[in-house]
Amino acid sequence: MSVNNSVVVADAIELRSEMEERRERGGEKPARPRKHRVTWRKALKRDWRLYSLLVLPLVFLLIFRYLPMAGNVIAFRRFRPGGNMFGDEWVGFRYFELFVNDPTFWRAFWNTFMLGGLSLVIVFPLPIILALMFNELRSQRFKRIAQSISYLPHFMSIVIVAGMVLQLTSLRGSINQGLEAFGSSPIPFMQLPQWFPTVYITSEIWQTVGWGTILYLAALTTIDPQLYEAARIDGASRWRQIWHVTLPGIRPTMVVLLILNIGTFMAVGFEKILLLYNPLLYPTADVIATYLYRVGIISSNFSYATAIGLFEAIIGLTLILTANAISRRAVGTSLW
Amino acid sequence: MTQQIREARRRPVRRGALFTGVVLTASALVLSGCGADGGGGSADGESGDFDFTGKDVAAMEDYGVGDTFQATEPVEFGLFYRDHPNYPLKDDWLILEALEENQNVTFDIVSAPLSEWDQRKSLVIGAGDAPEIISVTYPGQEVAFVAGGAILPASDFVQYMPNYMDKVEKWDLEADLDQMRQEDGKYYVFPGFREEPRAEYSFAVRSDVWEELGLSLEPATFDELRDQLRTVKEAYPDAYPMTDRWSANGPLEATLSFVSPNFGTSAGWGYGEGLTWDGGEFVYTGATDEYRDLIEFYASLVEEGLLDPESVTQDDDQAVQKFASGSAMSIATNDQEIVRYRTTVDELGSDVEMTQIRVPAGPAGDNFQAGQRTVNGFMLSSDVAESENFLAMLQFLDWLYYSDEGLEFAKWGVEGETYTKDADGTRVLNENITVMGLNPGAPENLQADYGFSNGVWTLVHGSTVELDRSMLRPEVLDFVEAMSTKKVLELAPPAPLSEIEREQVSLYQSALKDHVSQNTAAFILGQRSLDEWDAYVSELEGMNMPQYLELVNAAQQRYADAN
Amino acid sequence: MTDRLFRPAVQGGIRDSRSYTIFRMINAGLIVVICFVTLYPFLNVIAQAFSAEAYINSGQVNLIPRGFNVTTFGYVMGDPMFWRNYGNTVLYTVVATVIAMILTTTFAYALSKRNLKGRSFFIGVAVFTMFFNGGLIPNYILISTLGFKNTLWAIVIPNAISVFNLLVMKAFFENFPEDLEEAAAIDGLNTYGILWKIVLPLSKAVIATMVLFYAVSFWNSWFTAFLYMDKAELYPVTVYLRNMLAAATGTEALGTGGTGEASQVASNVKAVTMLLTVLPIICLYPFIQKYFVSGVMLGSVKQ
Repeated sequence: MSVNNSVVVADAIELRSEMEERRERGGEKPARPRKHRVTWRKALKRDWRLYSLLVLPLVFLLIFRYLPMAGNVIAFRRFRPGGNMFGDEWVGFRYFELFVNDPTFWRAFWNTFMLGGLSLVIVFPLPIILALMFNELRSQRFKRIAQSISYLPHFMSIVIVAGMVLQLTSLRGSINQGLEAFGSSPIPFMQLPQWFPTVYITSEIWQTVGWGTILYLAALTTIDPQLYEAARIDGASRWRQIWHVTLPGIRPTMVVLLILNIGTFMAVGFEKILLLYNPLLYPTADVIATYLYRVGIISSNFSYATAIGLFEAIIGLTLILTANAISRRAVGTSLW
Repeated sequence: MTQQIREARRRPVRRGALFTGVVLTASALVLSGCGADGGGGSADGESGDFDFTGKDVAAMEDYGVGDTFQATEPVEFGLFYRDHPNYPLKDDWLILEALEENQNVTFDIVSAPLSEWDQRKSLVIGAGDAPEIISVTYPGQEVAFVAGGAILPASDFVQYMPNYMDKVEKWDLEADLDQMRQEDGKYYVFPGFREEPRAEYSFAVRSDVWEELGLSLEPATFDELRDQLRTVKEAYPDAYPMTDRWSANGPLEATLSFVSPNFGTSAGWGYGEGLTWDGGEFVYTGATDEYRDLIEFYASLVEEGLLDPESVTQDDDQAVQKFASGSAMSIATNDQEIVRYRTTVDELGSDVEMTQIRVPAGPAGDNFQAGQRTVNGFMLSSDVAESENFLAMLQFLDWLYYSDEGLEFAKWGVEGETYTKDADGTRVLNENITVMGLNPGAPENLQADYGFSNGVWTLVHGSTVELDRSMLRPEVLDFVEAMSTKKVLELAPPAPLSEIEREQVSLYQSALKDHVSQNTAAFILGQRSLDEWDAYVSELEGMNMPQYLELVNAAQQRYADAN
Repeated sequence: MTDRLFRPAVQGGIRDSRSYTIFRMINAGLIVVICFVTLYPFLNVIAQAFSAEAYINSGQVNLIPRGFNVTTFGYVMGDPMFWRNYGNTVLYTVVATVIAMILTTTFAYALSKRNLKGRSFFIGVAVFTMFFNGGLIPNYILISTLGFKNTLWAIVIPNAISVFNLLVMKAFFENFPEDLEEAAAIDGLNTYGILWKIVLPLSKAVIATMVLFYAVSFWNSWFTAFLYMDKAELYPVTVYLRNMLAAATGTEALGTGGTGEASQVASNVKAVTMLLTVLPIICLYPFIQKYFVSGVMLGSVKQ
């Protein structure tokens, strides 16, 4: 490699601090190439190598994602297991009507929304905070050990986690023992619907926060140490360094993750709820996935499930488009 | 976060097949008991005779009851096999060898693990890819596949299965078979038969405590049982006289299923579609007075501190821990689980003793659940009707699953090689082989090493009472015999639904059942006072209960008129 | 050691403020608590895996194994099918991760170029698939028709691209200093060269992250395997262990399941199966960790 590193590096530093300043000033879009109409022929000629990189993935998506999507048509047709793959007869919006008119579905919808929303609001910021906390550790060894330990809950099988949660919250379990020590009477957490969101979110926090820091830690490594150096020379305390260097450095990652999470927040974890809930908790614990599961056992109705799936998909898509648009306006970074 | 989102994205998917298995069994157990689908005709001489020309290659000319099946030339049948981790499939199993040698039959096996059995089955049939013989299917599981035409209508072909017909006649199974009929009057699964239903679930009580307090180990009624629990409570105020388990999908599912017939109703696993036949029409089980009586009894137990309130929701592990450590003095059990409880306390070196007691009688009598005689069986994919070995297949299946000889073979193995018969006909397992607690400690296992007593090739414990009991421990035999004096309740009349009706009804059923489960737990715990019973019933009415009953009663009428 | 942790550090001649020092102490303390809370349940599971059945069933096992034995381990690990399936898992994971990384990286890099015509469209194409999928049966029929059933390809191909990972990677590439790429282009490297020689080597952190994410997800996956594999020899170990777990827990409840199969598997099968599945992957992490160094070593590039 005969590129003269020092020249490149010096230029790069200058460019970068320019970009940093701009970012600090409040999010202008990074320099865009002049907008002139580029025709496809020109684009292909100019960027054919880039396009060539796209070929394989696009073919993959086409075959393995878009082709099966044709099967979604059974939401509008009556599908009989063993019969025609695309359904046997057209029924229009019948299945949609069926679930729209089912109050249990709407309860499940609302619960999905609540649990997903709470997850988003409460659980999303925590990995960021934890990542920052890790970043402030001086001892590298301690940091590494602590990080590895924090990932452990992610690997625990859901069955075991559920068992643990049930054990902890039982009438003679640790939490109630603690309560009794403070003089209050034991609470049957898993029998009162109002406690379920708390139990669920807490177990989600426990299981996902450590693992969630990985991306942020990776992002933190891309922050140029020179910026810290520069800030320090300017007299900034560590606090200000965090505020002016660290946070802006991981902002792109935060934004991307936030948008993605907003788009998928309705995809509340099915297996964990299935293992944790019981009929007493249906009012707050029953989500769309568990509702479908119970209905599905009785009817094995693929069409019905597909109709609901389409409904959820449309919601998710709308959410992510909206989140993306808002993000572009407000912050300047967006998914596309 | 990434992984969980990705994993959760997979919808529509029914995961956690162990739960599927439980609930499906439940539905199946009661679908056979409480009027589900059906319609038309008796089992004989169905839709005319089937023309077997070209389809009787390798079939026996003369095959009847008492004959040993042997294909006239080697045949291979496709088999959807359920791989159970206790006995993973082995190519050199004696059962496979024997079948090849004696019956000239081999299998083209498509395996699916036990953990995802029902889901995989549903997928494979749904995609039209099912192998010829689909094993381990409970009556009720086939309903979803009927309309698509993927499954062979069994009732059309049982006339060619002499042993099947023989048992139907001998054991008077007509009414049980009628329960399985669909709207077109046919049934689509080949059920396993039970000559007599066998009781499995009951209470396990601490016999040492019971004896210490002078309590009888055979309480005659539930009231007596409750008094016994009161005595236990007085003597041991820090422990719960009773805790419970198997509440994974609903409160006290196993227990309520064996207790409820004695109260004149059905609940728990036995709840099924929630229909009770009152002699003239169907009423909704969850709203009946008998159901209320059952709940009242249990609510009283919780109120008096006799039943651990966590029983209605706790994990099985927690329940077992309570019983094994002495914080509870009784628990629900079946004949296998009690062995596990015992091993636990034995290893801990305590003097705890326990027995499985006979289920007491209740206000509605000394009863046992209806319709437990058609059980786990198999289905045939509809394209077997095109196969040239069709008749041979029917004969083979008839021999293996319904003939006394075949049943004995599949359960016990080969006489002389795995077991011997005494002069009086008692079968004795070879000393070096163990199975189900017989000959404990023996080096070889009948299931894992030989492939017999395998849930795929045996239909439920051997069908006949004699075979069924032949492998039981003495303790279990005592229990079974004590329970056999109970009166088996009668089946409700069939009420077959059309495809469209079923689509709507499944939503009603699901919503109603959820509400009933929820409130059963709430009433039992005292979260909701039983004074609110009427309010609860009106809530059910607001959830389309009348519409549901209307549909079902109309269906029953329709069937009755046509027959 | 504590000295180093708690004494206000001095960096470049500037002492940490007092508030910051206190913060550091609290920070370290909190992290210790977090470690404890996350480690404790894991230790409990390990203890259970080595404990005797009786103690587990009566709830007496905490952090220390009681009635130490390795019976369940022996039972599971003594089964040749277990090792066979384990080998399958390793194979599937490696192949799947390689394929996934190739597809995702090239896709992400191409999409990160802001002046690529049609970029929004292509991103949209990917994002759309995050929400809409065909469902079980169409996918099954597709894989079946392609002849992938009962082969390695049924497992490693269908989930090759995770759009989530794709978008995150794209974001990282977008933040990659353009100037380095421009400089390299001037030097005569084409797109492929830039990607291979400049961008990738300096993006170790994100690549390591993605490898980790993909590897863990493929390692833990059992769903595709159970859908498309007909023979027990082809299962990954996760299916094997799930099956074992189902027998231990499900069949009790089923009662009349088949011929009343007893739960012959011990109570600690859950703990054992979890440990066996998880340990290798946990061991993988330390190797990945060393890649989490600063990617773009501006200012410290040694000549």
